[in-house]
Amino acid sequence: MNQLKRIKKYSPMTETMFYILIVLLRPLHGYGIMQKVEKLSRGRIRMGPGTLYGALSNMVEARLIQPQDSGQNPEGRRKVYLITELGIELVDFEIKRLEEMLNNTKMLLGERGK
Amino acid sequence: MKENKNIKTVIRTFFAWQEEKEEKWLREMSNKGWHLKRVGFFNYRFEKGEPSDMVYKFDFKVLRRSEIDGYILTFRDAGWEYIGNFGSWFYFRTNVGGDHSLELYNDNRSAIEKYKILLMVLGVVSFPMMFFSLPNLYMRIIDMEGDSVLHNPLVFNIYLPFVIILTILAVFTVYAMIRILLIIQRLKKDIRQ
Repeated sequence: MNQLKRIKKYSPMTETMFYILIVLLRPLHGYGIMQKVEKLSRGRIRMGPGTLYGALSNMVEARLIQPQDSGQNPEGRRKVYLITELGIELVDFEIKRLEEMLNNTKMLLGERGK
Repeated sequence: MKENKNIKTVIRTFFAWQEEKEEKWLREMSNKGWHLKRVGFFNYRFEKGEPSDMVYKFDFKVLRRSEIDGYILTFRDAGWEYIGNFGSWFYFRTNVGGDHSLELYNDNRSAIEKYKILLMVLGVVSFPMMFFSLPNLYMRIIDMEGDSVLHNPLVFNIYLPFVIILTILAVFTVYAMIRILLIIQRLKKDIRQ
């Protein structure tokens, strides 16, 4: 229950934050995150480095993501991040919220059409 | 303005709420072939080169020494060249027409954070002055009895200049904080998060 409270605190996330979180289901470094988010959003989200850096430090602090050990890090100076269990729970929570919004929108648009 | 053939130092002051003006000026300098080399206390050093269109942006960030490398690397990877820092202000530039964003922040919520930290730092730094030094000095003057307080050489030569300087500084700090708060308000009004 405590966990849920913690997660709710971060919801709703900005779409940039949400995208960072889901691309970190696989380990990536900062630049990799930027490229992947841009690709997934078909160029719609072009992340600024200030936003990226701030989001990464905030999410590490919130334990939603975790920097990987440098020992197993082939990127050298670049920190590689991965989502945590808490982060995955937050993603689940957000999916439900987004689904609710989507379903309600479809329903109300459908009613309007009748 | 010191002139050397290929290097020049310009003395100019911009405040935190004049970022756009400062960006514009530095961009114009680059257009003329003067590229920012170093930034210092109220001065900018430029180096002569080929004219090019560069966009300048500044980030305010309180970092541990160990974090600076990773921070600069993040910006470099994103296509931004690090020029230097002035305190906690970090100066970056990038070529216009590159395949990347020309903003350091792509949403308002993260942009606001920068100004919140700036506001906090300003508050912490000025706190002792506003709530200790200044009241203390005022009290000392008030505590001195008699009409001739202002003719007292100790007050006139030592306390008064201090009081005046600190008062100006305090008023200026409050003004700066208001300007920064207004920037935050403006960013908050935008309904995009």
